[in-house]
Amino acid sequence: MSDNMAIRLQDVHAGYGKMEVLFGITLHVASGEIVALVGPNGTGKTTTLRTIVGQVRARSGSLEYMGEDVSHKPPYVLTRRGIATSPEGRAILGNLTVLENLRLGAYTIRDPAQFRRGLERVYALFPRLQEREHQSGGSLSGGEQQMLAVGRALMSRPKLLLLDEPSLGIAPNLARTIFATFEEIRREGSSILIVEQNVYLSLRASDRSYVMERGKIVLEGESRGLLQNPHVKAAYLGVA
Amino acid sequence: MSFQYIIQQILNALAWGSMLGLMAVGYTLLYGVLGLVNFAQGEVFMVGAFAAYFVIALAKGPFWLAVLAAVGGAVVAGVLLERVAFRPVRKAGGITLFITSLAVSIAIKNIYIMGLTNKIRPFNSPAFLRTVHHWKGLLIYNSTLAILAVTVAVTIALLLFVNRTKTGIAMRAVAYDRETAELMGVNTNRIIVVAFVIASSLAALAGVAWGVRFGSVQPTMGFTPVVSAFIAAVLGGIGNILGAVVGGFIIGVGEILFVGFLPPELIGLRPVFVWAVLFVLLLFKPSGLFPANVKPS
Repeated sequence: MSDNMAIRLQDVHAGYGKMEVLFGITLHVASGEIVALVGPNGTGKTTTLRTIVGQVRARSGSLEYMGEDVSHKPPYVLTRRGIATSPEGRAILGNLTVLENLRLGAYTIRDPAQFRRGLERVYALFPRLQEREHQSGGSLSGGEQQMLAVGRALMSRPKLLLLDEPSLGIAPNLARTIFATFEEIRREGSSILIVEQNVYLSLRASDRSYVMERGKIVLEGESRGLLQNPHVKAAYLGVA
Repeated sequence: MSFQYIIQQILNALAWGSMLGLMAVGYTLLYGVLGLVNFAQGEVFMVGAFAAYFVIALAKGPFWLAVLAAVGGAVVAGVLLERVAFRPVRKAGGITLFITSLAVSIAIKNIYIMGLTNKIRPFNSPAFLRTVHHWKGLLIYNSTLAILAVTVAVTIALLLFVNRTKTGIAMRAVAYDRETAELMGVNTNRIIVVAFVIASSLAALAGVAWGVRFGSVQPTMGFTPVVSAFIAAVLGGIGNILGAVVGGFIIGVGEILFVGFLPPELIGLRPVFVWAVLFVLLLFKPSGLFPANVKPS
């Protein structure tokens, strides 16, 4: 089981200082799966991602990546092992050009040919980035920055792609464009974990989903089924 | 005061401007990647100059070996400081780092004074650097040309490194947002060490330039360029390498011209110049002349 598991969290507790944010999170993403973690603002979705990449230490519980315990690894080591993140707030490096941001995303890639293939692939997914290639990351619009954040994460050819709020602050049709790329990214061999407030969009784009409220997973299952779930419908989809 | 006099003063100032420029790049790099205003940079400069002095005066070694020893000695000092002094307090913030650098600066200086006394020691540079050319009534020192050439070459190399190489891009990323750089797979500790290696090498070159230019070294020599170089870095826009070098030349040439126009009895007012520059700068253009390379907060 563990060899086809990209990431597995078992009863993970974590937080900042005295504040506990995660109260026993158990979730997994199997290889080749697209999984959504949805829920309202401030429930600990971002903290869950930050714990996975090692920016926040898990206080208890286990954290396995590809069947190996990674709970004490710094972020850069996890990135080198194949996890890529499009972080909260996009975190575009405003002093670097679009191309330099993408080169940074490919920091772990040694082979120049592989870098070029990755660049072509990202430009094919987001042609706008190629037009803006030599502009500074700070000069991009919010939507372009979001594309850059996702594209940059793809540059390392990740085994596991973590996306924090890819729809936040961008036009709805651009959000749909970005979500439409996930299926193709999966075909190229990445598993994806999406953290989102936009429940409808993420349930439509994922295989399985977890619903998180106040630091706990309250619901999980096939995304298609969750779309019909009364609690999900009432609380998140605005239909009674 | 003739035009020729002014040109001569500027020529003389180019070596000093180069030294300040080399030192200022160190400030700007270290401030960029870890928010450190490193006052111990002056002691790294001194350690480098002394390493060169030891090779020339004691071992009677060739000049190129002295330069190599200066860079080697300064790099060892810089990397050691990073590991034992700055890394343990890194999370405590900029003020703590700054005070740590002051402490380290005092410590190194006094270790050298205890071991060697604060005597001024003659620094013998090779004959080709002591040659003077006469040209249209101007005196042009070979040492000026050499120091200037080295500074220009080093600046170009550094700009290529920072803009073209993966490690250089990673360094700029760390300066802007360390956490995101780490998320992209950058080992930020390694980048910080690289920054210390570069800053220390440049300080060593400045130290050798000092020895060549003034013909002597002394354990307290680090104090003189430190303040001017820091202000040059601020003037150039912190984190901006080209800005730091240009700032070094502006401050260096400005200082010399300022003194050149003062009556001899007022020469002691030389430091007033850099403080006046800082004052005006902070009033009108606190971000410096060139774009700063750190995240706007």
